Amino acid sequence: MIKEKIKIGLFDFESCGFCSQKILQAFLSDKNLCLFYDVQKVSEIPQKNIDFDFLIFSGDRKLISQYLKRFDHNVFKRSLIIGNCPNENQILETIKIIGGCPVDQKKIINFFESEIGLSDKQTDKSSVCFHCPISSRCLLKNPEYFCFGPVTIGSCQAACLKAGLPCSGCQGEITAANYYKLEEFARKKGFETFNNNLNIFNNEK
Amino acid sequence: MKNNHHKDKIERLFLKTDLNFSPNLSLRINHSAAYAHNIAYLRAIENQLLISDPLTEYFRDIISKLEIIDSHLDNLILKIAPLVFSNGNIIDFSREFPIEMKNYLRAKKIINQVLILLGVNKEFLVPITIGKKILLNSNQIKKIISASEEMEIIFNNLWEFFSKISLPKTIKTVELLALSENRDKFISSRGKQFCISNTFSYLIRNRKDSGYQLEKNEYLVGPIARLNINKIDRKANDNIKKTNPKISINNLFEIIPGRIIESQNLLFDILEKILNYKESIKTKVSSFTEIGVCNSSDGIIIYRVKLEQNNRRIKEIQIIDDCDQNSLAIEIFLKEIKKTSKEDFLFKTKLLRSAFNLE
Repeated sequence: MIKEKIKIGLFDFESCGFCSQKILQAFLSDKNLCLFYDVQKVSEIPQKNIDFDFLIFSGDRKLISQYLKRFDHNVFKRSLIIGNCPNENQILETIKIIGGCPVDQKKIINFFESEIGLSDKQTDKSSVCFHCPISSRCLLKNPEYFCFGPVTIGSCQAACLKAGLPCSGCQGEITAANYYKLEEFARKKGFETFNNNLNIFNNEK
Repeated sequence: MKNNHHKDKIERLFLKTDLNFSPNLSLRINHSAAYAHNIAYLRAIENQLLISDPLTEYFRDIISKLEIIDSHLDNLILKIAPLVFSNGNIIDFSREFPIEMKNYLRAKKIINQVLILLGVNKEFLVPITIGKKILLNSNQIKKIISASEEMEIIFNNLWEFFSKISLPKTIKTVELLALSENRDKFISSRGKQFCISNTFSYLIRNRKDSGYQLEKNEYLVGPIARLNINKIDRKANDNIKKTNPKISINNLFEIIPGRIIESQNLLFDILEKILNYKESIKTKVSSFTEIGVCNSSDGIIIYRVKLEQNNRRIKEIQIIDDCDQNSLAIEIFLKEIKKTSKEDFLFKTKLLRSAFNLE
């Protein structure tokens, strides 16, 4: 007997819309997800989650968590925040978060496949330096640039560094990120705007 | 996605960051026109710093055109097709029409592969930075040519797929305001509009079996209009002022066939540019204004940037999105772009306002 599909509601919180597009593309490109899930876009801001098995908020994760903080945690029990847009405000409370600006499609596929027990692949949590192609002439030594590679998740396979540009930290911080050491290094280099650049992708010291 | 609140927040963030870091921010304003934003921003800065590289501009032109194709694909398959064929459910649509969905995903992949060859990446939003030079070798050129051939096949299939629908006859009559030099575009009293008589004749010639029946109305409206107020037919406009002619339009055309035709034309442009790679490098770039402009899928994007004295950070920034209803900003843009006579200025303001649906 065929089981009923898992219903997913997708609400695009204040963002450029790339997260929601990535989520849709993840469900469309993966055969398994296409069979087991049904995705529906939600047009109004959800006050609670009754209609869906999973409610996804996409966009600025700090703004979303600020919004969700108003409610009791049980109201949005099976909810997920996908996205990591730039924001100035500093309030964070997690439900379940898949980070990155733009978010990596593979992370979304892995998460939902593991939910239905199809795969237990763990997403790559090594830093960008691990994937960096220019290990001999590190950009940290270059006086013009400042690279966030050592503290950033390398799920992008160091896309910016392959294009000859420094890492900006858009995929979120690794668990053992030592920002204090990196800030010390930045100061020595004369890079004054370290904290501002760090906050752009919601990374925290 | 037109989200002004989100845009304002990023505008504020621009003021704090280092100039080498800021190109990342411009990419996060609007996903469908990410590189158009990036390019317009860089042009605004480079024009102020008097950096100009014709070869880089040549590649930026290709990148912005590729992005317009990418955006049209998203609109056609993720927004319009599910609405028309499966009550707005995208997952159902992908199950009912797997070939179209595969073609869409393949086309997206091809576009990203070409973008990677040009030094950027749409999947992870790798920015173009200030003064960055791009170079191509013969192998890469071959890859781009074969990719564009594959894309052409995909768009031909898309055309056949969408020609199953017949367009409803929603014809409006509008007042004509101005004609372009080639008389292939016009601006009317109801927003930005254009006439595609050339592409329409091509359509009749090559696609007799298609379901698009527009009868004798050649004038069409929509966001795919490309506005250039500097190329206006003066003689024709004098006559227009006297006679006030009215014309009929079909604004539904741009939603489906207009987008496919534009994408095909853009593909042809890109191929032509790549084939004439060495010759086209000679072109010159204008400089010294605070303004940078770039074409996007829905219109034009304008950036107005003022730098600090040490040229390390941004002092002021104003972003006008492709459908922004900001008349004041357009007037500032007009004043700074060209110091023209009073009459000419008023006329151009009127045209621009109508192009942005402000009147």
